[in-house]
Amino acid sequence: MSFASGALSAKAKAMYGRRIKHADYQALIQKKSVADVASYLKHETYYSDIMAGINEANIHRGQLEMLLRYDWFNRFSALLRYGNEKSHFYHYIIGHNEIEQIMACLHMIEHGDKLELVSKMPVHLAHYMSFDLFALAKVSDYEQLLEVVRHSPYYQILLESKPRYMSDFDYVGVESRLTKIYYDDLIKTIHSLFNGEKRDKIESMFTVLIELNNIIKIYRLKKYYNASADKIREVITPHYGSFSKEMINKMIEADDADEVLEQLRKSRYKNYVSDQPFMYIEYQAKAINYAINRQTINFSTDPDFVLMSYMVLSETEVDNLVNIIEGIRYHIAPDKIASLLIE
Amino acid sequence: MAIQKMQFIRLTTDKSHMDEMLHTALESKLLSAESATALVSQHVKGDPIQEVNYFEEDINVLQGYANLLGISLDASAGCAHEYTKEDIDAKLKQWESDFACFNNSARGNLSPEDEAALDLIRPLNYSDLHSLRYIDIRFGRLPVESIKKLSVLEQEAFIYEVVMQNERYAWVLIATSDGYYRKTMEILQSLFFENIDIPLVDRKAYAEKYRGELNDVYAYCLLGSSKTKLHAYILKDDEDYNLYGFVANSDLERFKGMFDEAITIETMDGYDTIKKPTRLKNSWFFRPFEMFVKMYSLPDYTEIDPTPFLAITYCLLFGIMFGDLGQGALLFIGGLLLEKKTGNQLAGIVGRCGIFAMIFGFLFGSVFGNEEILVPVHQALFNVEHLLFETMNSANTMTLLIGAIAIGVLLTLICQSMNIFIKFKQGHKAEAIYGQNGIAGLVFFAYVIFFVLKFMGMINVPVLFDMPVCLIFIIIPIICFFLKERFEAVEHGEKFTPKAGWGNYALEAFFECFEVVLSFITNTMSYLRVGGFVLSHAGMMLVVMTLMDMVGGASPLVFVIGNLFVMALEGLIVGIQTLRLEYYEMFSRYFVGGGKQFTVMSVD
Repeated sequence: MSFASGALSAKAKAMYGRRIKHADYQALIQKKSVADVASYLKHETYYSDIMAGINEANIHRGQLEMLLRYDWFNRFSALLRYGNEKSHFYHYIIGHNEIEQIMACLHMIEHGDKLELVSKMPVHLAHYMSFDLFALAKVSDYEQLLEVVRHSPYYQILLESKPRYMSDFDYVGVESRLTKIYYDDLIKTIHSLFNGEKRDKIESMFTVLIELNNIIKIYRLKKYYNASADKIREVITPHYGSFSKEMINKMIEADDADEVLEQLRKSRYKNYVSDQPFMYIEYQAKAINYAINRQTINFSTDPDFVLMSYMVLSETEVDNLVNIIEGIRYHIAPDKIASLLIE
Repeated sequence: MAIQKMQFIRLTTDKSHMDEMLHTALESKLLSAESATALVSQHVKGDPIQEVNYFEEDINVLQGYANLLGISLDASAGCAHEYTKEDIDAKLKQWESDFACFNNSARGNLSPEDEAALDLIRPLNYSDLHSLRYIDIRFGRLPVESIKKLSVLEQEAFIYEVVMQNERYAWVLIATSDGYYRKTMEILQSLFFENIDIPLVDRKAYAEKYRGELNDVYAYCLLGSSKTKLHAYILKDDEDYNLYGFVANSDLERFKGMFDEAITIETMDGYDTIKKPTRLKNSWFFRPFEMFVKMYSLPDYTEIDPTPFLAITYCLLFGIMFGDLGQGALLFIGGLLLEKKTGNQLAGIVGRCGIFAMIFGFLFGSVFGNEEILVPVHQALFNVEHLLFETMNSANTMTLLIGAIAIGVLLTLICQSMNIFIKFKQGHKAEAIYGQNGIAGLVFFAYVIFFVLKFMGMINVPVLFDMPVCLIFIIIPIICFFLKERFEAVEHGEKFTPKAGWGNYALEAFFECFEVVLSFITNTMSYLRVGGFVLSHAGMMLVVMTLMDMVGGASPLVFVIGNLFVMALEGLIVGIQTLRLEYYEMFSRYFVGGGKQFTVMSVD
């Protein structure tokens, strides 16, 4: 069963065709200021629509990044108009933002920095969230937070994780459990809506994401927190696809972070992993995901696969642009910025 | 033909009547004035008036003030007062200090929306907003997303009011106390607030106050500047102030009648070095075709106006190629209506071509592609079996093509004759006698045509084709072509012997002669297209008729669309091809151009 029509597939592929190309990236990284980047996006790329009416000469870095992310979501919403009544499945992408906002709210409760939370709030997603985003911004203690998320899937975990003092709060653990709930729900939905080969393929697309997130967690916990194997096992999401349970276990029990990376280089993703030393693990994971999805959009005709791939690829494009904007804002050399781009 | 005869004249007066003279000449729109500096270079007696146009600078300053006040200056009401230079300087200085407050506020970056939003808070009185002691008022714009966030943070340190909003930004007025100012600004900056300075003074009130006086001085300066610019036409000779220019002979008496006795007007002869301007004057039928002539080049004053000849030949060739009574009628009606409504010259040309298309359409018996309707008329009028000339009958194809060539031959001979006339008129005798479009060329081409006619068995005058006669009409013209350049050199006072020697000259002239002879053939063949397009037009309409038969009930639709399609496509192609024949095959034989436009005297 396809939830999206052929038109959706054609539209998504057409939008992918208009993506930022290598020559654009080369031109962008040579720009001297955020205003120059904004001007290029406004006049030379398909971002001209979202940039229309914007005073690009005075635009703030954060505002530009916010606009790009807002546009990304708008494109996604526009594509869904070509789908049918079950297209709501695709709002799975909101889940990450929900968890992010809850975690930011928890930090706000402990540190009281409401401005940090509010300024980064994705207000364009508020309508789709399972709780009231604006009410979340007004929360001042844990009880109020529980009240706001009472009818969301996250309530039970947050209730069970209520600390005596916020300083004792287990941020890593709670975030992992919230993520696990999110993925469990997602897999359950996939099983209820799809069947046969298609279900397996969609599930595998998400399993790749889960695995890559797990590998990021393993790497970071080893590299920066020197965490024990048991602690790592607690925070990873136990879904296995390309990496068997044994392979993940081997990574968890590796002596250090470099060994984790080494094992990644020996896996089926070896062709996508950069040989450059000191490359961020997040970069490696995104590059792998990007390569897989690029292959899907090029060769698949199934509207669901095409849409999901397009969203990954276009989100990576937004990440690239954000990297360029930040790189230029902080005067990073163009070749250094170029090395962070995934294309 | 229709190049107006011009008279070079001089208007003379004293200083007190100079501006009046210039003004009357300007208003007459009959004089093509010569600038004083150009006249001096032609050794006309007198000196240009040396004046600095300080009004221009004052106009710039006034426009700068108008920009500051956000108004546009308007001189349409004229100036109510006269000002001396000192008066104007004093006023500009006064305004400079009055408007200094606007210079201090950076208004350059404000978008029209910013201005509109600022306008909305005008009723609060800008200076009152600046004079609050304990409350700090900020004005600026925020991205729309930030407005939603502002509602969460409002009770923290400030209150706000959205003044205006579009899909990207909201313009907000924010009030905070001194104690919360820093915190408020921190919040606003994190939400990408762009501050817009509230003006210290109300520009609109200033604009209303000063508008009248600014316009009056502006109008005076514009007038002063115009006068100064017109002084560039004046040559001062002792106490006489002279204005020189050209007036059409036909307008001269009317022009003289416009000036009073203080201004004398004399006709000037003997100034042959000053190039006379060209103004074309043609009748209603020919006038739109001036556009095609000007597109090529304006005729020189000493040439003839090629417009009537172009108009007739253009319409004729177009009519032959686009021969259809119905379609021609549509072109005629549509073209003339459009010309009347919009004054478009091309539409006028289309309308006139439509007349000839109708005539040839009638002769070919074609009405919107139908070649049966006119059969009874042709039978009655011309006493023929079917139609006078059936274009699609294969027996007529050769007649059609030979006819096209015949038209080409005739037009080439006419063009050569016209060229001989013009060149003699201009005094270019060598070109008139020895050139490829002179007598030599005409004799050569005409003889070759006779030869071809004899070959085709159409004439038989044996003596004309004897060897000595043949040599005279072929060899002598070719020798003329060969030596034409040398005869021209002699005409210009140079030696007959070429500077680079006869060897080089002969080589060059040989290829030129070869090219001349070849061009006679290719140019004549070029007219074959006339016959070709007659066939093409008839062929396309045949397709439309065949399609109509095929579709049955929908045939009226096919008839209309088919006719419109053929009219648009053929009309465009035939129009372009005819213009090509005019420019390449005809103009190249007799028309040079390079004339000076008769430009009515103006301030600019």
